[in-house]
Order: sequence, then C-alpha cells, then structure tokens
Amino acid sequence: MEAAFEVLLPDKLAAPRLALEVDRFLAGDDPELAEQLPMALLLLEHSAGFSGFHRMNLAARRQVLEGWESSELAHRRQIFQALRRTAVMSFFASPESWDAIGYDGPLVGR
Amino acid sequence: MKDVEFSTEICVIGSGAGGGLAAGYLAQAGHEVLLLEEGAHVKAEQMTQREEQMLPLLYRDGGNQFSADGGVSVLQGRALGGSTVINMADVVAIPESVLDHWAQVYGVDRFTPEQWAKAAGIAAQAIGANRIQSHEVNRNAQLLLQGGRALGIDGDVFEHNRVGCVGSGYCLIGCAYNAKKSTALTWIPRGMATGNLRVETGARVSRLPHQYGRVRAVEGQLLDKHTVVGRFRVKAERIILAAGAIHSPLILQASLLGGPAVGQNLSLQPQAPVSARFPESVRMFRGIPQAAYLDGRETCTPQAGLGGFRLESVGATPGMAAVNGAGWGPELLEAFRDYGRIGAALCLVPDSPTGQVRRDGFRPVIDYPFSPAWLERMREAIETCARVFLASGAEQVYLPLAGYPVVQGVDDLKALQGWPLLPASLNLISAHPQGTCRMGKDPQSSVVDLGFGVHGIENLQVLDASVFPSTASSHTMLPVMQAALLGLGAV
Repeated sequence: MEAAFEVLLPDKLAAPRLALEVDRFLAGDDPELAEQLPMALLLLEHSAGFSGFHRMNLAARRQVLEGWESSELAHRRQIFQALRRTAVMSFFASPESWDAIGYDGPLVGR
Repeated sequence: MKDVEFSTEICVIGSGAGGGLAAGYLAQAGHEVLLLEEGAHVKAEQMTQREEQMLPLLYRDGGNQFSADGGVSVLQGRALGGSTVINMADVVAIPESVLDHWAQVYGVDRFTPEQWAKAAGIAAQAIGANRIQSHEVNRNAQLLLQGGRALGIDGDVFEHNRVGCVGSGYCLIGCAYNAKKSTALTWIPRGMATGNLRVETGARVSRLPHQYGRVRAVEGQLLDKHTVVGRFRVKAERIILAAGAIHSPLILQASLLGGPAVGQNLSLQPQAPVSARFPESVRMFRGIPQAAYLDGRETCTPQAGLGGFRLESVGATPGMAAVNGAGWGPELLEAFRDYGRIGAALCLVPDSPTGQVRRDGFRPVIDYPFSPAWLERMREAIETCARVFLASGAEQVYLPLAGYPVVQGVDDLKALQGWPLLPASLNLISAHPQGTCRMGKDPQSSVVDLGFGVHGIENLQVLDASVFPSTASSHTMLPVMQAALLGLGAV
C-alpha cells in the first residue's frame, strides 16, 4: 500500500504514516469490506511484471497507475479509484495536511 | 452469544425518513412499537466534525458502498435517523407532474395530489421545514446563482429542515448542534415520550419468516459495531419495512418475499461533482453546504416524469472534496493549496429505473448500467455547470472525469464532447436510491400494492424510497415522509 500511496498522495512523505493508519482502520472495520483493498493491492503488485509494483521506481509506478486510471479494463479503473479515494481521503482528513490548504478544522472543542 | 426475544404490536425496521416517521407516528397514535436500527445512536456531543471518525460511525460501509462496477458511490446513513442524519437537509416535495406520471404510466392512482400535498405539509411541519434566509446563503451558493443568472438559467434557494443552524458546514458528517431535524430528533423522541416506542440499535434484520400470507416474526443479529454478538427474534402483529431502497429488497429476497420484481427497477439518480477555483475567498466548507440550486434545465411532465438536469451548490470537508474530485498526487495538493477559493456544485441528472439489487450473503450487489441517453444528459449537465462557474468568474474548473485537463475557458470544454464517460472514470455519487420494491397493481411487475402492503402478505408494509415507481423528486427525504404518512393512513 505504501508503494501506491507514495505516488497517489499529494505528499509522498506522508505515505508510511497513512498506509499504516489505513491498515489499522481496515482491521477494525467490517471484515468483509476489509478484504477488498488488500485484494486490489495484490492485483496491482502482480500486474506489474516479475519484479512487482513495490520494487519499481516512483516514475514507473506513476506510469502504471496512470495506465490503470484510464484503462479500458473496467476492473483496473475500479481498483485505481478505490486506491485513489483511500489515499486522498486519508491525506486530507488528517490535521497534518490542513495548514497547507488553509482549512481551519473542526469548530467543536475550540 | 445473546439470544433475545421481543414481543410487540408493531415492529418497524429502519429508522430513517420512512421508519423513523412511522415509529414516532404510530407510537403517538397509541400503538406499541419496537423500532429496529442496524447502526448506533450517535448523539450531537459525539459529532466530532472529523471525517475519518464520523464516516465509519454514520455511513453504510463507512461511505464506501459502491455499485458493482465501481461506477457510483452510493451514500446511505447507518445510524439512528438513517440518512436524515447525514443528508443535506433539502426539503423538496414530489412534483405534481411526477404523481400524474405514476398514475398514467404505473397505475399508481390511489391517492390524490391533494392528499400527497397534505402529507407534505404535515411532514414539513414536523421536521421544522423553512426557507433558507438570504444571510445564510454562502459564497459558494451565491456564485452558482450568479453564474446561472449570467447564462439565463433559473435558480433559487432551498427549503431545509435546519432550525438554529450555526453554519458550521458539517451537515454531511452529522450536526453537532442538533440543528438539522433528523428523525432521531423529531419523530423518534416524540414517539418515545409517549412510552409506547422502544428503540433497539445495533439490530440487523436478516429475514422475515412467513406462513399463510402473514409474516410470523422478524429475525436478525445483534451487532456491536460490525461484530455479531447475538441473535434476536421479534413477534409482532404488524411489520413495517423501511430499510431503504438497497436493504429493504435484500431482506425481502432473503425471506423469499416480494415476487419477481423485488430488487428490480433501481434508480440511483447519480450526481456528478464539478469544482472550480475562484479569484476570491469562497470557503465552501462553511455555511449551509447546499443552499441554492439551478433548475432551469430540469423538466417534469406527466409523460416522462422528472428529466433534464439541475445543478446544486455543494460544500465539502477536505477529504470528501478530494475524493469527489478527480485528481491525485502532487497536482492535487497544488489545486487544493487554495482550498478556501474552491467552490463546487453537483450535476443531478434524474435517471430511469434500470438498475437492480441482488444478495451476496448480507451484502447487496448493486448493478447499475448507464443508459446512453442518460450519459448524454450528464455530459450536457457537466458542460453547463462548467460554463456557469466560468460565467461567475472561475479561473479554473475541474471536471469529474479521470484525466480530463483543467478547464480554464470555454474552449477547453470542446474535448468533453468525445470524452468517454465510463464507470470508475466518471465520478458519480448517489444519495437518492429508489424503486426496488416498486408500487403497482400487478404482483409480477411490482412488490407492494397501492396501500404499500407487500402483495399477498396481509401484515407487511414497505414505507421507504424503494416503493417509488420512478424517481420521486430531486431530493427524497420529504417524498419518503409523504409516502409513509399516506401508507399509515394519516391523511
């Protein structure tokens, strides 16, 4: 997941932290739902040839994901969107990202 | 594992616009009612205004429910109050032309337009409906109206069911101020105050055993969040099913009820988000997130029902805004660096009932093919929305299409004509699933009769958006309440 997040996230430095958070979130959520993302990652990992997605350099990973985003294969687009959504939601829901975009955060508890 | 038995006069399944109303109304009328809700009772003081905390608490699948091909994100509430806890609080009744359409095309003619209107009045009053005041219209909504005026597209501000709104902007992840008058704050507590209504949360209904044309019991599982911790069985004389247009058909299918039409005729009324960056402060994330709409291109006729399209202002918190854009990677941060200058709207395009819901264990499988005619209307809606934003001064417009370049002028919209509109490439949201337990006279093509009773079953009614023969309105809370009141004989 970290390999995909490094490319999908607005800031790749946040990838290790957020990948871990998503893992933890999935573990505590609906077990049936939690199976889907790891399966998507497995498909991505093995589609990229012998060495695997996570071993590719950043530019090559980006190229793979761009290919999936506009793929003619519906399941590739679906997997891309699931990963994109998970990545950008985890990034922007996180208070660490708010200063950079000028969002002043929740009003309760102020 | 707990094993619990309940006994009651009336059992209501689901606590949203239909079930919450039914439970409260019947309890106030002196009936003994048990209300079952799969989600939790999340109170105002638990609403943290944090997306990653509230989405799992308030939404079905934490907001990750999709159609089978990933084409449409289907948003539904899963908490006491159902989707009335997480909706935009828009109060829009069923247009009279839709009622005429249902009568002419589907034979749904038992109630007069006057009765539907009276039901709308009762429901609107009960949830505190009022017109959004001009000082409550945020900049995002003003820009939509302004662009509409420049292009000659009519619009207005909404009626809503917020009372004492502070304008925090967090409607989609639960009101921390008890201002949005969901069923959890209106019908349900009024019912409970009579002593006749008991509420069980964390209760997921799995089936309705039946014999000789009567449902004998309501069976299901007790949940602690998502973990099954026990089973329950409810003995009731009368059952009201109001689990929404995705889950009501699922429960009927699991019970071998509803005939061949159950789960068919799904409308999702998908909406596509378009956002734009302006040269001024917009702060769409503050104020009423959906205050205004442009309906100048919407059509409504007795022959075809609701058609055309409408554009509605929409504000969103950062995560939801990013998810519903099309961008990713460092470019997304570049676009979001000026989050305070971004405005957004939804292109709402009424559809035909062409989808279906199937069962996979307890999970729904939502099949929803796009029709070519609907896609062309969506293409027109997206283009119109971009033109509206450009007319109101946007510097950049972001279309909900994977890979579409940033739009900086009307010339950049030319590529939209040939652009493929594919599932999981065109970004779509559904907040108004309808139609899967369609009302009608023929048990082969419909699920409930004109009195909302499941064909052939004497003590089971369906009172939610699944009964609508075609899309009822551009917003479904008030239409569901209208239907529920008619089904209960309140009018």
